[in-house]
Amino acid sequence: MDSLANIQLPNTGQLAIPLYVVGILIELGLIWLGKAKGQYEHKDAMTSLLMGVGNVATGIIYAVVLIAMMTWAYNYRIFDPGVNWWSILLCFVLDDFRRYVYHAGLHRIRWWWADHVNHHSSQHYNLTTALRQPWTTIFTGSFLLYLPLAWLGFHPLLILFVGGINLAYQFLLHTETVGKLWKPIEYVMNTPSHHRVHHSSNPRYLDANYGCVFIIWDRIFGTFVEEREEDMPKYGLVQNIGTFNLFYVAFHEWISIFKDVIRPGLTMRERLMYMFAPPGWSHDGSRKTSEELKAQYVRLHPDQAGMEGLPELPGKNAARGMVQPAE
Amino acid sequence: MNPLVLGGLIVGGLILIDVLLRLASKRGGGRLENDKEAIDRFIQEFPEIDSSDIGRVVTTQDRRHAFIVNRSDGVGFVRALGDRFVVRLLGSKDLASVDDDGETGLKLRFHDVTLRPARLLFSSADDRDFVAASLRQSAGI
Ligand SMILES: [Zn+2]
Ligand SMILES: [Zn+2]
Repeated sequence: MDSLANIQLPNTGQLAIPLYVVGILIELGLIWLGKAKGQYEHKDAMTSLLMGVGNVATGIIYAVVLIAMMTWAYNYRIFDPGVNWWSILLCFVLDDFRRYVYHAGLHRIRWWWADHVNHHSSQHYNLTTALRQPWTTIFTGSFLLYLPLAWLGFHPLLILFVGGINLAYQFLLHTETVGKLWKPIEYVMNTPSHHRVHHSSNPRYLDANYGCVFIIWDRIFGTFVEEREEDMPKYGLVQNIGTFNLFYVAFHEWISIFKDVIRPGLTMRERLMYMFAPPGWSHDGSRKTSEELKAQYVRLHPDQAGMEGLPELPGKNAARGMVQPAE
Repeated sequence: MNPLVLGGLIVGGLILIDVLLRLASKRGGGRLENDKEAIDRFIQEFPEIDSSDIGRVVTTQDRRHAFIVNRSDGVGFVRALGDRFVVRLLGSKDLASVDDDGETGLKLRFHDVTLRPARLLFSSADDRDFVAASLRQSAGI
């Protein structure tokens, strides 16, 4: 293995902090001067920032585990691309795809959602929202998803480097100051517009736009939804949290999972579903998953059925199935 | 970067942003203008509830909380959080306790850990009694 001292890559984590502070001050200034769209609220923004500080602190343990695991996998690498311009680029793209897959899982598996829900729990959308990050990522086991990259032969420090650039890019997405960008950019890249969709609880926008730097993954896998003027994003969760207490912001979904799992009278399958089924699953139908919320929305707004992000009306599908294809 | 410089940047940045936001924030946070606003916010989050099912709306003195007592299906609860609102439909599994507090006050505790306990003041004893009775009936306590 190349010694760590031989790999000369900038520490993106450290470089990002001035970017965060300056970025927030610029966004705040533009909003106050009336030059840009956006809203800040004191307690909300400070909660987000302190969640970010806690994420950095807990992230040290995560980083130690992650580097140890990646170093182990790297020792069994099947290729040896080294660190050069094309390996950096390839690693960046593959890591971005890995992030897309992971992000989709974060929204569809409750065990992972318990961690990621924190990032979505603000009803505001500004650069501080980007820093509202979880403290419990170590419990998701997500470091395992990094192993294929190291096993392919990308150096652990290179993987951390491209990840750092990815996160810095994502920080800049969390703003209302930027509308829609030039069409080719909106087609390929994740943009503030696409990520506003991702942070919205409007039924059509649920479970959409998981991409981090590139939005093409969503276009390829059918999870892309365009931001629409007639359905402006309503930021936050389907059921918003009513607290700025950092402990509950960080751990509320873990507490809910625990309470659900220990309920008396459930089967083992039901207990497992409370841990690993999509968020909103319940054994008695008392809650709604995003699929059920989308179905409810089209029942109430049949004219919207089949549009991007929304299902067809159930009756319409059945009727279509009965039509014989013309020869 | 020197860890001390980095730490200083984080702490300094936090303090600076905190001061700026304190100066700019509106005092008191979100207020419900009227009953219609409370109903609109409730219906937006619970669109399956028929508007004909909406009964009496009672707002607290500070206009930061409203209860929307439905004819058949639980009690709607709209609560200000900063300059935004949090909405719930309080049914049988949501309330841990409902206690009268003085002449016109009410103390609520919720099972949902993201809803912190509420100490509310109503404009009249009649409002408080009506909300308390509706919540107790809805919660079966
Ligand atoms: Zn997300
Ligand atoms: Zn985000």
